[in-house]
Amino acid sequence: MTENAPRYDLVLAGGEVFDSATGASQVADVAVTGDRIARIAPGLAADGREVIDCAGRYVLPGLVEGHTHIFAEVSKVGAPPDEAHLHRGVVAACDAGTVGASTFAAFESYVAGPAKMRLVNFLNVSVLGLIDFRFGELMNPDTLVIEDALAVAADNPHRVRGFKIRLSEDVVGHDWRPLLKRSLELSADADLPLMIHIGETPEPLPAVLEMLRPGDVIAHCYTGKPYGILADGKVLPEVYAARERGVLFESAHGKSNLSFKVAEPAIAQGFYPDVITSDTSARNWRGPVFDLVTSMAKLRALGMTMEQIVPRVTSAPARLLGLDTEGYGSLVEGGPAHVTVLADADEAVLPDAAGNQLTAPRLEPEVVLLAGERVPTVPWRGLPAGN
Amino acid sequence: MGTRTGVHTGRAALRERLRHGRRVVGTFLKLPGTDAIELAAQSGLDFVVVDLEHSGLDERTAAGQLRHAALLGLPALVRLAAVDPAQINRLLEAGATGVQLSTVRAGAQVAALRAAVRYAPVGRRSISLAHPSAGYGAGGLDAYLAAEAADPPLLVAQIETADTDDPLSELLTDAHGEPSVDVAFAGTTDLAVSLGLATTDDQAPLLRRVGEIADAARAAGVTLGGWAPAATDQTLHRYGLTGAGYLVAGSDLQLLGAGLRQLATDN
Repeated sequence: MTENAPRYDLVLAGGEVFDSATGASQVADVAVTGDRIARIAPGLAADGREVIDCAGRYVLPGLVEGHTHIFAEVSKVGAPPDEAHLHRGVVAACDAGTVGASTFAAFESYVAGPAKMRLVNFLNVSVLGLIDFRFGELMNPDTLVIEDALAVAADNPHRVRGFKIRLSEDVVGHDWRPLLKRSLELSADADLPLMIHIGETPEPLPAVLEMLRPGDVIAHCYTGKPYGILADGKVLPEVYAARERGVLFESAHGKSNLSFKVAEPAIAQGFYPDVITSDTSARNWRGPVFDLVTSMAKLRALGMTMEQIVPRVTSAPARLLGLDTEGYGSLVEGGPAHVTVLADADEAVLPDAAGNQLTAPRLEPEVVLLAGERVPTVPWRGLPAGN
Repeated sequence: MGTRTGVHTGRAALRERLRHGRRVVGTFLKLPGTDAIELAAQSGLDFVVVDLEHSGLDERTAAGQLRHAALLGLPALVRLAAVDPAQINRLLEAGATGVQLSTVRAGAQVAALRAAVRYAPVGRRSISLAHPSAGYGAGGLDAYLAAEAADPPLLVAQIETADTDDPLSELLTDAHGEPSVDVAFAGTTDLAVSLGLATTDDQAPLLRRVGEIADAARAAGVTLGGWAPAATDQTLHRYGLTGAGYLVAGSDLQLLGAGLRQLATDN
């Protein structure tokens, strides 16, 4: 090897490199060779064939989105995964219940199978999935077919990582308990978690929480709709008790399920989501959600630190989705080179899903690597036209 | 299966859960009206048993309740003291998920029950399509017969005497050794009285008898069922029903009474 031969294909130089497990960060270089992280250390820039200056940037494992809707053109809520996620810094994502057992084959053939980014899903307990939000998928409770859901999960362990039930009144009516019970039974049979969409549930949250088991996931923990996690501005003791038992909470912003007026006091009281997710969909990826990095920026503006945020968009969702074993959600020497470099962007007016807004610096993906390959990024969709 | 109605899906769902060894929990309904049916569906009970043995309910009221339960997708069985084929037919046509027959002592009772709930060639039930369980005939006779053959009424045999005329195995299996009912149900209250235990705290004879019923159920390949005043582990242990897959806990009257007494005490 001559003195001038570059040892690494690419060096991301001088960025603030995060340990996704602890959230701690240090300034270092990240060297990539082929599809792997070759080294993480200071002073590697001289050995890179290509060097990208990341000074003042956050260098993170490729982001993992734990809750999205990407069954484009089949479901009315389906967004295109590459445009909505990959080009905005997300390298792995979980479709949360858009797909049901009866539509799974199409999802596999046309969306998840061909995708370059890693896609998994939480299968809707209704065989119909979320095709059209005007018509609740469980209004006919017979669409919850345990055998069908179990068969799809058993045949597709690479894809199905849990189940999803939407517990809103317009989906389940007042007789939600039997449906939740059957959903819990089926996820127990498959040994997978159940994700429960809250917001406009027929009864207060504690009635739901007491039925859940460790590992189950409450989606939309900061919803401003009844019934949420707060009472008189305080996080309910039942919510802390559920967390204590191992029930997880994720933020899932969505078109209508994150309110700054809930998130701000909850964060002030130290109640953070276990997983930060965007709930991106065709209804919100041009606003008010935009993308996962914008959800991160909102929670940062409401009081969370980057140290708290980073594990919740990398290692925590990777663990929830069983993607940690494939190397997602962490940045380690020898691991796959999935990297997202974020920069602080100018202040912008950021809306929530409940008619409130705040002004705060955004986060912008500058470099995205998927297995060592540079992925093009696209500008924030909230920028004024022509910008 | 153009005539597979909610009655058939309810039977299939209940059987599927019994087959998977999951305990299903229901209660007896003794009060008229449909409120308790709706409350049971809403609260997530797995089924109800409309009680025509020990209640003031008449057949017409019960039929209305069964129709309502079928519409809600709540499996609703009916408890009867004797096999009256004409009455059983009317209740099944109204939407009963199955029949729970009390005080089964002889194989002939079970044979009569099976004949009353099944169409030929298995049984002798008289057929009509002019009722909700057949979708009012919209799908035709063949489709309805196929739906009934695929998901016949659930049968629950209450065993609640210290001894029976025929051995338990003959109550629970047919001549070919196939299960003749879905559930062998320990009627624990009658059983206690039959065993002379009503005034004693000695539960050992009751537990022994329930154990015999459980053993016979296992040997016959049918689900163990039983009644207990509550569904807690402690209560089930006391009644020897920890292995019960089909549990009837209390009744609407008992639950209402407990609530009212609590209310009076609270004040």
